[in-house]
Amino acid sequence: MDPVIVGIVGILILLLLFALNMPVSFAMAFVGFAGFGYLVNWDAAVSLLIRDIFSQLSNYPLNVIVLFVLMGSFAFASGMSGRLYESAYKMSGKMPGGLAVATILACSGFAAICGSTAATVATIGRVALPEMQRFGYSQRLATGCIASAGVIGILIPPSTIFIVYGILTEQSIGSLFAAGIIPGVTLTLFFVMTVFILAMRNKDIAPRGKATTFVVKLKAMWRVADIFLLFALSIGGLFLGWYSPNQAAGVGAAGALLLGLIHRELSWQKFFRASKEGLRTACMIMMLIAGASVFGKFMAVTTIPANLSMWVSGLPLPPIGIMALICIMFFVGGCFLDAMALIMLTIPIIYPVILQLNYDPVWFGVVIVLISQIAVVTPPVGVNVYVTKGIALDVPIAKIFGGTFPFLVAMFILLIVVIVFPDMIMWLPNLLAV
Amino acid sequence: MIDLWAKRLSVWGEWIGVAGIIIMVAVTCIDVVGAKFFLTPVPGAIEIVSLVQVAAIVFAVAATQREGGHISVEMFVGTLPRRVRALIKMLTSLLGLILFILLIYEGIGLGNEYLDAGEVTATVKIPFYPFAYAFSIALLPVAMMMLVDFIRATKEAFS
Repeated sequence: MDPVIVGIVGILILLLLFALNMPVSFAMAFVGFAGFGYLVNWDAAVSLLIRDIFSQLSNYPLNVIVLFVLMGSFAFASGMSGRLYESAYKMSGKMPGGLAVATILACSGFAAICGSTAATVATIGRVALPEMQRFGYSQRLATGCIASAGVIGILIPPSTIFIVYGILTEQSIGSLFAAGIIPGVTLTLFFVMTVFILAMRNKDIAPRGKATTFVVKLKAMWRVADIFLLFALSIGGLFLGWYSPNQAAGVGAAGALLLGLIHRELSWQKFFRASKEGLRTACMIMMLIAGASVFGKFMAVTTIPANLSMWVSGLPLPPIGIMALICIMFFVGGCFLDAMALIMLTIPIIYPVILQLNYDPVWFGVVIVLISQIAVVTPPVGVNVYVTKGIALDVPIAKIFGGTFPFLVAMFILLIVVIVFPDMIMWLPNLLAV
Repeated sequence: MIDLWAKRLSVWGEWIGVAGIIIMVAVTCIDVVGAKFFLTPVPGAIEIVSLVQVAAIVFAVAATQREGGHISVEMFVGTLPRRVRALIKMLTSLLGLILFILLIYEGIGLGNEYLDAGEVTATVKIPFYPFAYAFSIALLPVAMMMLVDFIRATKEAFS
């Protein structure tokens, strides 16, 4: 049978296994193994399966994921989220929609030490939601704001998805981290503006909080100075070339642990719980990478990526039209699949097309990460919305999805800006030369 | 019985994984401090971290499975009738069981190959074979969990 047909059948079986609730990583490894065995031979497939998984799991560059995930877990266990929210609240509480703004700023700050969007939502949401409810914020605004603000977490470094994308495409992780900063900060500003507009239009949905003096604001900033120092030491050190991404992650994890001990927030029990949670998250990501690697080998022997690249470049469409098609595909895919799984599944197939079109891989990385993150707040999967629902049990899911709509508009505006002005993304990586 | 032992082994495996990640953080930090301040990095730091990583991650696979931590798409199956769901679970757990039995068997084969060839890391000469054997041992509780899921789903589908 034609290898391309076998590849298409393999992709369809894979999607079927996803729909049948088989873990994504196991399904990719199984279909990759079976497809490779069918096309090449079964001895080679068995050898590929064990050697590929063993070599991926012992791959030193991937250690950066384990350590950054651990940094986020220790940061959570060390109570940094509470301090960040409290400080942001004192800074912005009196503004229109001040508590929602504080939530967005706290998410942005927590993102600087945690690489996961769902973890950011869960962590800040637990602190922010009771406060917003206490001040009489509308459920729609409060939950929509929490679910959406988590997206900032994936753009501001360290970001696990950028690391995985960097490893899959052999791009500098430092460049990708630097490229995420300006869109991350811009998205924070867009979200703050969205809250202002909503609060100005209807003052009842976001009553003003308490006013604080300048001294209180200054003290609030001082209380989170160590968190920004940790970011500066870990990510700043990486940008300045002091150490490799793995070393930056190791320093970050140890620093988060140290801060927890200094603030006496981290008991032995919390430390072990955080370590176990971090380990399980890292394991999930590493198994996804291992499964995607086996599946990628199968895709390579089907010649689908190369053929697709040739076919797409021959389409009577300008590069921006092809880019728009790819964006739509990622958006639709992201509505059904987890962002990390989507990127691992599609990048080995789509990446040659991007190279063929002469798009910058770092810029493309930011675009697809942004699109896949837009999908995490859209139905039916909308992971962030479900995480928020887990915190706000009395709020109907439809209301939370409705609450994310104004923020989705802000995300789409940012996406258009990023696509139209690629220099905005590339300025910082070029400046830092990382 | 199998269920109980799978759970017990997954808990032990998770503790090995926790020890592994602590070693990784410690080795990385000692290496950074040693290299930057005393110009003496940890010899073979990359090799140690790489091999500890494979052990830490693979020993956590069962605990991650136990806690439902591996990403899956849950929205379609939940809406189906109970018997159909059981049939689907039968199929997916059987495929998972085949996958993990293959990995366990081949892991032992890989360990034997490393042992026969005397393969060690380049700098500190750590042998590879114990990690390949550990790989197989660590996946044993995952296969046991898949087997339990398969038996339960079969009983439910044909009850």
